[in-house]
Amino acid sequence: MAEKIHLKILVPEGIKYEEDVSQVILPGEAGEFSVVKKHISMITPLKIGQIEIVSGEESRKLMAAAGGISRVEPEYITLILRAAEFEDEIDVNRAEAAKKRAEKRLNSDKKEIDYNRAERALRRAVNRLNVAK
Amino acid sequence: MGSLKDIRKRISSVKETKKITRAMNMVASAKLRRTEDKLLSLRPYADELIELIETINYHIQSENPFYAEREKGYPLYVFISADKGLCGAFNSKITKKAQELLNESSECESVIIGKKAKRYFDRNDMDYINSYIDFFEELSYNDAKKVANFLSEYYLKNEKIKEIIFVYNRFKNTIVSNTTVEKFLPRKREESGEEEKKVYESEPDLKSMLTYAITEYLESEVYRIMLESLTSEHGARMAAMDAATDNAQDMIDNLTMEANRKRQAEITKEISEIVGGSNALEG
Repeated sequence: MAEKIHLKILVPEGIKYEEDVSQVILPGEAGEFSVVKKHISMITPLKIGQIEIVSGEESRKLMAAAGGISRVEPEYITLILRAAEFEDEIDVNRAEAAKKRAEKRLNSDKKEIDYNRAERALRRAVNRLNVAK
Repeated sequence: MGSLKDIRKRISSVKETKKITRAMNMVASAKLRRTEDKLLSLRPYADELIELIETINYHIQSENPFYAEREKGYPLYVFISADKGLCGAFNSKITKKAQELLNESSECESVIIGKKAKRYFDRNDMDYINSYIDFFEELSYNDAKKVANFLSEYYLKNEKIKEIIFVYNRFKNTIVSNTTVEKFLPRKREESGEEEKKVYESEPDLKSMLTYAITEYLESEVYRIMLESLTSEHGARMAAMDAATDNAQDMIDNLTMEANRKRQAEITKEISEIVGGSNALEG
């Protein structure tokens, strides 16, 4: 495989992941995009979605990300994320419960609920469940 | 002074209290370590955001409202106390500083974090525009985010606010923590070293990326300040409980001494009664 690029994933709780990888697939605002070494310098937001880390022929890792910023340089990629979990770290029951809660909030008739917030919560929960599957 | 029985009762009650203060000391020290860890792990995240912001600032010369100095206006103070007591002078240091700052400035507004400061403001009929309580038991990033979002929105809406200033206790070690007065907004632009200008591809444009990154950074700053305050609170509680445990031990020592003296006196009295009695019989 091609040359490797240094990937660093940061969340408020610390450095989540730091390794040389061959390719990363990121959830951009305009759709998924993939980054390899010598990519053009770029700063772009990430939406809620999954990150795929390819570090070898057979080795792929999936991660659920709750949005953030990506900074791509030719030699390295830095992802600054609000939250991120690898597929085996996801608490399916918790995500399931969060999904139900968000759905209930969205379906209720009450005026004062924050639709954007509930919708984001729902998207995060669904994303976690998708990655965990 | 009470009887021997009373003194023994007091000794056992002080011993119970000592057990509790020692347990609280240990809990506080465990929590102190955990909060310090959180503080350390936040640093790389915040550093990366600053670096990103600097890079964008370097590449586009745009005025951002969070960086623009305001000529006129009054300050908005954010006071951070604890939700709980039993931590020495921790809370009173904040309320004292608050009183001092409010007396100094003819016009200002306050935001309060922590039950103790809120109670102080309520009791003294002091105004505040918003308050947050019950954060510190399980302090999360989302709590800090709420505060940060409120503050930055309020700042952008109100032209009359010159600056936002945080007042909190900053942890140095378990004995020393300094009451810190720190400017939160507007931010100061850091001078970054010369670097090669690059062309950045960005979707959307770099200007809105900058706003996005700054919002994130402000959230992480509030989180950091709250963690600093929490660390300091645990440190203060540890020191206070340590002193209380020592005092309890002193008290136990004194009371034991007294109990022994009393017991000795009673034995002496009994012996002399017996001796006196037998002397009377013989005589």
